[in-house]
This record gives sequence, C-alpha cells and structure tokens, in this order.
Amino acid sequence: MGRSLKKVKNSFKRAVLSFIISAAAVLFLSAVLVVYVDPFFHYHSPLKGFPYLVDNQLSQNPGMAAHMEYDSVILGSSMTVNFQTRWFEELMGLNTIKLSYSAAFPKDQSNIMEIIFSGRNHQGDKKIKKVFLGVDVITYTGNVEETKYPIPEYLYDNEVLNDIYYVWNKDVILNYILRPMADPDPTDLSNVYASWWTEEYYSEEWVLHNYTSPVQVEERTPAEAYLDAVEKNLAANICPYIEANPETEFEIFFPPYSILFWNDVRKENHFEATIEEYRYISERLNAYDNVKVYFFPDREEIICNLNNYADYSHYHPRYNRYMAECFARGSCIVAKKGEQGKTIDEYLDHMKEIVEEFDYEELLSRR
Amino acid sequence: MLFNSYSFVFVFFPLTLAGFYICQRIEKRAGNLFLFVMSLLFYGWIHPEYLLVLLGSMAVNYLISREIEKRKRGVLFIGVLFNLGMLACFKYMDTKGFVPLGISFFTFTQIAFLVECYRGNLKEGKALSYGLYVSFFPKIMQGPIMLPDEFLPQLEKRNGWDWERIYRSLFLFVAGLSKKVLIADTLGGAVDFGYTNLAALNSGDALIVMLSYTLQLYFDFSGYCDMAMGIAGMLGIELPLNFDSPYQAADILEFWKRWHMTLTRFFTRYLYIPLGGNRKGRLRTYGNCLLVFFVSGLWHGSGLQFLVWGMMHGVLFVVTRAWKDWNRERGKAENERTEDDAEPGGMKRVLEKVSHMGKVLLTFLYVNIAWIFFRAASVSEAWTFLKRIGSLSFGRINRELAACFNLDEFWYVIKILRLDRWQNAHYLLLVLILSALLLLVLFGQSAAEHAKKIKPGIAGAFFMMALFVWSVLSFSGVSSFLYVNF
Repeated sequence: MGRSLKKVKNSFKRAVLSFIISAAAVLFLSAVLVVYVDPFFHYHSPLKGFPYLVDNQLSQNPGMAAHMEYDSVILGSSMTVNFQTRWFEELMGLNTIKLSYSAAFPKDQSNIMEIIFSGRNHQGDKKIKKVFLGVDVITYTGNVEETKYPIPEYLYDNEVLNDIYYVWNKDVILNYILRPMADPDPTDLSNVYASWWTEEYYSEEWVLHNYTSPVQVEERTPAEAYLDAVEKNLAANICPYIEANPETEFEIFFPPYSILFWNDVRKENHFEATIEEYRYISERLNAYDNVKVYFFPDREEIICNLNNYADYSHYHPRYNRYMAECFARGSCIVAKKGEQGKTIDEYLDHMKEIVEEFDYEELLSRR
Repeated sequence: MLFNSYSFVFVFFPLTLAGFYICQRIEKRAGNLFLFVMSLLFYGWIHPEYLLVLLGSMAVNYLISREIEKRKRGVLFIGVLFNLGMLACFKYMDTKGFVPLGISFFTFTQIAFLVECYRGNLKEGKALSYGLYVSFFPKIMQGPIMLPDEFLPQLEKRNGWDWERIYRSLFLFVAGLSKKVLIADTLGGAVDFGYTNLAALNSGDALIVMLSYTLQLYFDFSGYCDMAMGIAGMLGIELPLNFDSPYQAADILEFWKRWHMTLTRFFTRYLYIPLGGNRKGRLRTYGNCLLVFFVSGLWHGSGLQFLVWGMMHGVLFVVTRAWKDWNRERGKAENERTEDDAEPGGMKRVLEKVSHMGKVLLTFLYVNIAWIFFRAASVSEAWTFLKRIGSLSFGRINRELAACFNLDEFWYVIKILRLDRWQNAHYLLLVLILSALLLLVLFGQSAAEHAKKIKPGIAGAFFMMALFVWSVLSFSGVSSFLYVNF
C-alpha cells in the first residue's frame, strides 16, 4: 500500500516537473525566435531574406531608427506616408528612411529623433545628412509631453527587463514572424505605411460626400492665441535636436491641405491665429542656419481641386513626389531674413488671398 | 498586482512559494509572517497609497475585535458601522478615483470576523493570523469571501510540500488563467465593441453582445477564483468554491446557490438570518429576500443600474420561492390522496430531462437580460440596449463585431482548411467560439471538479503547458490604431 501510494505521488511529481520544464523550454524558444528574427528591429538590423512585415509605426519605428542603415529621414504625420524613399535617392542621392507617425504630436517627433541622433547612423564620422520634417500646425498647440497614442515604452527605452513584453508577445510571434513565413509578402520599405486609398478615392465626389462643414463659431480666436503652446512645443520637442546637430540639415515643410481645411479654419473662426502660427513656426525655425523651410499650403492648383484629395487634408501621392522635387530644386522655399526670395509674409499674404476669395458655397453646393 | 501578469507569474509567485516553504520549515509562524508580508507587497504593488487604507482598516478592526470578545453589542455595532462607512465613503462618494482595490471584499471579510468574534465562535485571535486572514493575497482583490472559522484553523495545521496538491492546484491556476486571458478577454473585446457602438447594432448583434457579456463575466470571475484557489492551494490553504457551474441552474434560487457562493453565504449569515430569515412568517421571509438583493445590488456598484439588476434577481427569486412554497403545500396535499408511480417510465424520464433543460435555458435567458443592467453605464443605456434587441431587426452580423472573435491563432487553421475562400468565413469563429462556450457552461464540469479528478500524466502536463504558454504569450499584444485622420 505504502509503495503504491509513493508511486502515485511520484507520478504527480513527474507531471509537475514535466509542466515546468516544458513550459520553460517553450517560452525560452519563443524568446529566442523573437530575438533572432527581431521583427521590430529592437536588437539588430533585419535578417537577410526574411520577409519582414512593416506596418506598425508605434512599434517598428524605434527599431528601424536604431538599427537600419540610412543617412536621411522623413518625419511627420500621415502627410508624409506617401513619400517613396527611392525618390530621395533618385533626386538627391540620399539613403532615406521613412519614420512617419500618423497624427503625430511634436512629442512623437521628439521621441524618434532621440533615437535617431543617438543611433549608429549618427556616430563618429557618420552623420545624418537631412531630416525632412512635415509640420502640421494643428498638432503644435497641444501639451508638450503628450503623444498621440500611448507608446509601447518597452521598445523606446534601454531597459532589458521590460523587453519581456516584446519577446513573449503573441502578436509579435503570430503576426510578425509566423504569418510572414507562411504567407510571405515583404514590405517595400520605400513605400512603407503608404495610405490605403486607391486611385478612385481621390475624387471631389468622395471628398465632399464625407465632408461636413463645421458650424460657424461666433467668437474669434485671437491671433496670438496659439503662440504660447507652439513656442513651448518647439522649444521642448524640435529645437533641441536642430541645435544639437548642426551638421544635419532640417528641411521643414508645411503640407498643402485642401481648401476644405481652410473652410474649417474660417468656420471655427481661428483663421488669424492659424496664420500667425504658420508665421511663428516658420520664423523661429528658419532662424537656424541648418534649417530650410518649405511652404506648400498656398499651392492653389493643388488645394483648390478636390480631385487631388481623398479627404479634406490628404492629398494624392503625386504631390508627395512634387514636394520631393521641390526639396531637390529648392522651390517653394521660404527666404531667410535678409536673403533674396519669397518671404513667409508673402507666402501668408497669398494664402490669405486664396482663402478669402474662394467661393466655398459654390463648392459645397456640388454635393 | 494582477495574477495574469509577467511579474506575478514569473517573479512574485515563485519567490513567494519558495520563501514560504523555506520559512515554514524553520518555524510555522515564520511561514505565516512571510505570507503576510508578501500579501501586503502584493496589495500595495501598483497603488501603495491603498495599502495605507488597508492597514488602517485592519488595525481599527483588530482593536475593535479585542473589545468585542467581551460580547459587547455596542462595540460590534460601531465596528460594523465603521466598515460600512469606509465602504460607502470610498465606493459611493466622489473620491476622485481613489477607490482602494478589493475594498468591497476586505470590508465583508472584516465584518464576518467581527460578528464571529461577538458570537464567541473564535478562539483568542492572534494579530498575525487576523492580518493574514484579511490580507491573504490570493483572495484579497476579488474573494472568495472567507469566514474566519474556515481560514484560521488552516493556519494551524498546515502540511508541508505535497506534489499531488501542487499538481491539482497548478491545474486550477492554469485553467483559471486561460479562462481569464484566452476566453474572457476575447469576449470582452466583443462586449466593449458592442457597448461603444450601440447605435450600430441590429437585434442579432445585440443578442450576441448580451450573450458574450454573460459568458465573459462568468469566465472572468470564475477564472479569477480558480486561479486564487490554485495559488492558495499551492501555499497549503484551501479556498472555498465560489462558482459551481451556475449557468446550469434550473431556477434562480439554484443560481444563487451556485454563483458567487461565498457572497450568498455572507448575505445569508449576516443579513438574511439576523433579519429573521424564514422564521417570521412567509411575507416577512420574502421581504427579507428582497432586501438582501437590494443590498447586493448596492454592494455590486454605485449606480441605479445595479439596483435594477439586484431587484430583477430579487423579484424573480421571491416569485420562484413563493411558487415553490405553494407547490410544496399542494404537493403535500396531493401526495396524501394518490400514491405516486413508483417507477418513472422511460418517456417520463425524457420529459423530465426536457423540462429541466427548458428551465435551465429560461433561467439562463433571464440572467442574461439582468446582466445587461450590470454592464451598462446607466439604466438608460441598458434600456437602449434592450430596445435594440426588441426592434427585431435581424440582418447581417456586424463585421467588426465578428472580427473580435477572429483570433490570429486560428488564422492558420482557417488557411490550412481553405475556409478563407468561403464568403461567410469571417463569421465562422464567432459562431464556433460562442457555441463551444455555451456548451461548456451549460453542460461542462467546473474546473474545480476537474482538478479533483485529474490524473497525473505527461499528456495532461503538456496540455496544461500549452494552455499556460498560450496565456502567457497573450499577456502582451501589439496595439494598432486606425490611422485615418492625419
């Protein structure tokens, strides 16, 4: 009796130990797999031949910034996702990487610049040549510390312990390692994060169909209303990187939103404040020697034709190409103080003229 | 700290387990002291400020209990009032989000202690035993609500390491973990989608959301309790069963004997019976039942919707009870007149089964509807939800709702079976998962029952390992947001 009881007890012991050992082994192997393939490039540059899927800006940008090979960067919101980095090679001979964050706030830009400028592409003799930064004025009026979405901290810091969220992560293993292996469709990094709108979405009919004109706000936002927040955002999240990296050239650009964006601005009654914001950002940044500012919002031929847009702000990829060409040629550039060329005041006067003279009623009546 | 977190599973618990058995070897009391310290650490892990509330409440209660031992009714009254006051203060007043975790549970635990002290059912209380009784980490956050005479004796006569107990407890922990992480959280996605997009639901969608919540709540809460039983079991403490396949109940009376059993027990002992129970006439009995459900609604949350939920249960409870009382009397009278057939025939047995199943389903349906009030943010939201169901507009199931069930792990299965070409493939997992879970709750055995019977074997161990690893890998995910605007 005693012996058989002991036998039973032993079989329980064996079962418990089998559980612990096998669980430890499988978890260890999962971690090894994640570290080896490293689909978020947290530990090393991409493996040759692995069909990486890149579609998650929040999770994959930091690793790409740290471990990929590049000499220039595209930063900004969804206004930048349709840039193809091969154009930058073709037009300017730059090996560019795109690290857009959709709807990004300045703090998001700061987070990624932190990684870029402490990474291996900016060490010793290697320097980042150019940073192309798209500025969306509406995102510069918020809190300095705020990111648009909560970021997965474990991919942004150097702590080893919290990497557990990465190496034992079902989504990482299933969606970014096993699924690409089973059904390979490697992302073309040149065109990574490109928007999903196909050609037929770029039409006035579609844009107007989805657009609701805001209710007229009676109280006018004072012209200086945004400047305080913008000043703080620039000082905390953008300027430090410009100042600390004088060898890097920052190509700051304001993207061309459609005339409906300006309809919103008018109706919401903060037109002067918005114009002053453009002026402030442009002047503040253009004062640095290593900054060039490009102004696209007043490209009348683009913004007044809604067939160039998929919604009130997102333009067709051909205008990304157009902007890349402008960067290469130096067109649409804002002259620095005391230099020849079109000044920000002139650009903004033109902008005002377009916005004030446009026949919104007629456009909206086509719905 | 949550049971379903890396820090609990891989750091806190292994350290606690090892430390406890080492201390226990040295001195029994050392083991208990160690558990007490670890329990406080567990409780204060994320919100150290709540620990102060817990410690304060424990100190006051302990002092009161010393006074009560002299059978002072007034002191008991003050003690109970103090606890209820604390609960009311944190739970129902605007404390700007400062609500100590588990306060509903540890308040009741302490009330039970005071009452038992007053009744003279406890031997002299040691501070450490008392502290551990209240704060024991497996149960402090969500129960079960233990009685002192169930917990304290276990501290005195605990055995050493036992592989069989460890294995059975491990099974319970893994079962609970998968119930919570794999099942409840998946259903939770669908429920959250449903309640944030109420206007977009048709009647079918709303029914799916209703059912999903009923299942989510069960798998979440009972999963937590299974984990708690497993964890405590490994530390040599047996926690009482809290869920005994409640959705298999054939009426609401039975439901409350099987759902959150330790809460029902608490209310029976410390509210229903002191109110007179069933000793003061039938009407008074029914009134007492209603009052218990009213208080239960109040305890479950602040908001009118919880009272509605409580009263929905209360009313059906009383009606069922009255019906049973009436039937019993009539049955008695009839039995005197006719002798029942001694052998129930085959046909009769089938009929009985069918009628039993019908009762189970009706009870389940009623409980489902009541849960709508439990989940909704307000009575009016619950009402909107019911109107969605009542609109009887059936159409295609909402695609996004169905997507909540399309777990990535099944993508491979669907791909291999070439089901992805089928036009309704998108809805397949919704139907399969909900059906399987329904069958499980309506016919399956509870995890606790399985744990008692499970035989040790390599295959079983590997199966548990697979569930465990699957759950652990699900602790963390990759969040993606829809990048539409800007």
